[in-house]
Amino acid sequence: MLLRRQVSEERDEHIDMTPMVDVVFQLMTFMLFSMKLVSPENVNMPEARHGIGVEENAATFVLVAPGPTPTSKPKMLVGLKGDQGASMDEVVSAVSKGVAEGKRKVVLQADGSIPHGEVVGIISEIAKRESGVTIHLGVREPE
Amino acid sequence: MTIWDVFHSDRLEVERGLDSTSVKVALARGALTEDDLIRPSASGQPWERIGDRLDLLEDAEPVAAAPPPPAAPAPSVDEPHLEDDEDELEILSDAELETTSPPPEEILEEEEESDSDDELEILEETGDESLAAILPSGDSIPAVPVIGPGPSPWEEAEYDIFDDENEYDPLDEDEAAAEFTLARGSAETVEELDLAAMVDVAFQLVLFFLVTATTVLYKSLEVPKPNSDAPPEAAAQGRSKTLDELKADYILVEMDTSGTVRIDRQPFPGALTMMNLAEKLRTLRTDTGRSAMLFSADYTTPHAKAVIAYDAANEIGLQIKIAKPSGGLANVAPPAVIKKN
Repeated sequence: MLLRRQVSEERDEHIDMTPMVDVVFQLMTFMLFSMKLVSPENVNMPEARHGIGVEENAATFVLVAPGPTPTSKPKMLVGLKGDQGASMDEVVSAVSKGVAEGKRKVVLQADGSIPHGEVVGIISEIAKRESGVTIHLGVREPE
Repeated sequence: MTIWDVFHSDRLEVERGLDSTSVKVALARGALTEDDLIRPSASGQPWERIGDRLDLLEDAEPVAAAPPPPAAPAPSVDEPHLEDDEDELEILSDAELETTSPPPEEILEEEEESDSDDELEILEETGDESLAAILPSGDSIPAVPVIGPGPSPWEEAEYDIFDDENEYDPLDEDEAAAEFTLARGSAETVEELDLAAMVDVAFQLVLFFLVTATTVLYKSLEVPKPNSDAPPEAAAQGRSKTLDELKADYILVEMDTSGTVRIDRQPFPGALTMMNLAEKLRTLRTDTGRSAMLFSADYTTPHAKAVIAYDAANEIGLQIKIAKPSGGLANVAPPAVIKKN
């Protein structure tokens, strides 16, 4: 006699989630490696073949983005995720705070269209008010 | 006699129109269990567990629990026509002993020996269709009169069983027979925890955090900064050095707003690329022995073009000095020199 439960037991209705989880994590890892870090501001850093790597937690990052008009002053942002403009005092304060935390590097991620004089002016001001830091210009790999 | 509606808990089916005798027989045979529900037919009363109805269990339990008695002879085909309840009960007691006791092999032997035509007559006379629906197809049919509505899908199966030409074979049962089950709740299966999936996820998480925990490196060029502790020599002398004076110590690279380059006050003929500039600087370093570049650019020179000059100096290992940005190449005022530490 065929019993219903005996028949139904042969069917395995369990869905194995393991392959799906594996694929999801592989995709996540792939995207993590392939993604490019995009700054909140549209900063097109200049290309450079040479350069050194600076760790995110070992430096104070200052973003210098173009102003709304070509003649306006560039906009400075403190940190990689800064979304509000910062004055020079705020920038120097952030650098000083970074030095207190052991961050003795300042990376100036300036847009390639920023006037050279503005960049040098920021460097001079930071170096004058906070000695003991090294200044780096953010660049990107040549395409 | 009370007519019952029975709810099969295992199949989630309701069977209507069973009398007490049929319920007891079904209980004794295992077709009904104590967990099944019962209520008087068309009464609207709440369902009760059969196990709570002691009046129904009294007669059924001893039969179900008793060891199988020796095979009893097949019911007589000469049984009189049943008309009242008392006769029904008498026949039921015989049928119970017959249908619950012998093992299936003995039943099959008995069925082969008995006259199947007579069995069918009894079944038709008593109108025991609902009971036939309860009973398993592999057992013989007791001559128990039961009031039950509608034809049973088991009727044809029962005919097949008693067919002399076809021996009973469970595999030959039709689909309807396969759906019928007398199985009680099967033993609980112990579900194993699949550790492989968990390990997979754990390793993937480890990999994920390992990758994200490693610090991201931001490429950068180190540039010199003004050194207030060591003012330029010219400043100490109360005047600034001119570019011509500095040219003796530094490879002088000037750049205007449009990116036009002059090296040692001479126009740079090639296109402004890092490799072209590096090659020119290499030649000058070899010819003159100067090991540092003094970069003087207009205030409005794009930052990207200045970085090309820095990159070219790094290409051949030149020290970098950055002059204070001037108003342009035409501005002859000597810029202050920003020295690298």
